[in-house]
Amino acid sequence: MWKWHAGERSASQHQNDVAMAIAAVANAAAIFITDTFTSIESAVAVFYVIIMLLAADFLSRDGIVASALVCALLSTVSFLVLHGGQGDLGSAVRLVGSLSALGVTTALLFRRETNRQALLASHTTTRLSEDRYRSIFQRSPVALWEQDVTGLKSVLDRLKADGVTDIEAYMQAHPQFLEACTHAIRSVAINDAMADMLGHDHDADVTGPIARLIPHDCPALAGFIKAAFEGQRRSESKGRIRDAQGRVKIVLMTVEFPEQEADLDRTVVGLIDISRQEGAQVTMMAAQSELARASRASAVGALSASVAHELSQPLGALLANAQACLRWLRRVPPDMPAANKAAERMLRDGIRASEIVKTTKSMLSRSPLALGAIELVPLVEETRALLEFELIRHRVTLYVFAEGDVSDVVAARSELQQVLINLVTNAIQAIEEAASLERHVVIRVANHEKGLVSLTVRDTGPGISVDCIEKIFTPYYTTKAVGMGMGLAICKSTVEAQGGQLTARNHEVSGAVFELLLPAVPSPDLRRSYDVRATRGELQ
Amino acid sequence: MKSNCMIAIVDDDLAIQEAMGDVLRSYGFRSLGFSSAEEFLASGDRKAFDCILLDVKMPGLSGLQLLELLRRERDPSTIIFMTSHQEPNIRKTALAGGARAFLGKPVDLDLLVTLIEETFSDR
Repeated sequence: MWKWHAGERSASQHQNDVAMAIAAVANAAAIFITDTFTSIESAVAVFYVIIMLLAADFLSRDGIVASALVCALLSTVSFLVLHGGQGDLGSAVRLVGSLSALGVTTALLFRRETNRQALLASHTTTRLSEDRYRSIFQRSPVALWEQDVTGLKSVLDRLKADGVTDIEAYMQAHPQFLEACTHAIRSVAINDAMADMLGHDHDADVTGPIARLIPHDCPALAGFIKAAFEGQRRSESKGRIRDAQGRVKIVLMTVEFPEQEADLDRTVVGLIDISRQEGAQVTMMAAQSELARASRASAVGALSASVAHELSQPLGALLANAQACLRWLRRVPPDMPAANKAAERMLRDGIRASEIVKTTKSMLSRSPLALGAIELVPLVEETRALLEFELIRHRVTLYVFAEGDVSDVVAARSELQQVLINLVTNAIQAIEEAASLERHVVIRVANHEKGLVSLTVRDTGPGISVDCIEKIFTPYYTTKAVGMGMGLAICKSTVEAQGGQLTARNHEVSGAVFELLLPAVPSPDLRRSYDVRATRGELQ
Repeated sequence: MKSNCMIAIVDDDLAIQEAMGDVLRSYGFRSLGFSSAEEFLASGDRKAFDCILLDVKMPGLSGLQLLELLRRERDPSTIIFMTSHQEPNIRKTALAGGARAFLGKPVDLDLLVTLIEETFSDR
């Protein structure tokens, strides 16, 4: 009958309940006596309702029903005692009225108690669910991080109100914004797996702004903010995080923002440590870059070695003939016919040597080319992938723009790739040497007039000096301390062999621009005759 | 006597044969050119040659192989290599095989003539 279970009420509250119970019983007795033994005509029994209201505080549902029955009984007994069997209509109505009031009140109190029980049950369910979540969160083998991003949301809402629509542009224009954001997002909890990953104890306190753990140049940060700004649900990217020793680890971060705004304080971010894979990736890219460099060097090296060898023959003969000629001339008397013959042989040997040189030059552009239809943008992206290590190492950003629907070109894939690698590597080196603050290379691809496609490589280096610009494509010309200076000369011949052109100029703002013009694949209904040079290879 | 000295020039490059031949003639040496090791071996009187100027890389039998062959026959001729292949391994093999000298191309003619004259002064 008692509403409260053991332990639900404190000692003083329990004493109050007991006092109330006693008071209720006393009042009930008083009402009964008044009703039965006095001649007060009003519906005294209605006052039983007050008892019920008081008693509901400490009675269970069964108790409420029982008390109601008792009060009803008392009222009825009073009536019978007072009026015997001959009650008049007035008193009968008064009894019915009292009983009705009692009934209605009891029903309402009963329902109130039922609702209270239901609410308690629902609270218990919620709490159990919360415990389960906590347990799963804490014990998950994946590193999980609970964050409160409400601060970030208000910052972004403010920006939107100020009229900012392109958050990426805003972030680029305000470099300190990212760091400010790491102070707006708060760390709520980390699970055991994440504590292990960071080298913290399981119960270490990592609450506070995430700036403690996330360096402001973390690559995942911009993506995270952009997703939050644009209302995207998910964001996933590589990021950097500081561990307990302050070392930076590479991790893969994924976040799914909660649906309800009210839950933003419980945003969960999953992390996977990919430091080792990144290390392997860096090593692999370094190896690829080295391979690309070595294969270029070896090709040029092999060519040089064979040319040197071939030239030594006629030069040897030339020297011997010159020596002989001199000896014939110095004889006493000089042997003129012999000297003549020697001189003629010298001429012949000299011509032979120059033929070798000519052949070499054309050999650079005459190695069999497998021509095909090449899509430029994917090729440029491949070049970017091959040179990613170099780009990251020298902190140079590569931008690729395609203007409109660019045609495919007729070219030899690997040779063109070599040219691109050469041009971009030169661009990176120029930027590095000039120690420019602005460090980017921009590749633009666009349709050009006369059935050509233009690909320009622009750097933010020092540009090409006026006296160099003439000689830049000549063999053996270089301003670098290391290198033979063959790169651009070979590039130019390679491009020309494919029916294209390679030129260099300075950009109007800063840096140099190298422009590659390549023949576009002709549209099927427009047959045109190719340049003779382009058909020297085999059209696949 | 110098006019008795016969030198064989074995080199697949005709220009070298002619040039070397003429230089040696200006020093008073007689010489004969062969375009391959086989041609030299097929020639009649090999004993007549006191000195052989030899290239390393030739079609067919290489200079080193010819050297080995001659040594097995106990041919006493002086063998001097002239080559544009300057690999140390080849040089070692040649000298170990009994070559008098291993010269690189273009040949240092003063040195060559000195070597040849040394050969003939020994006879």
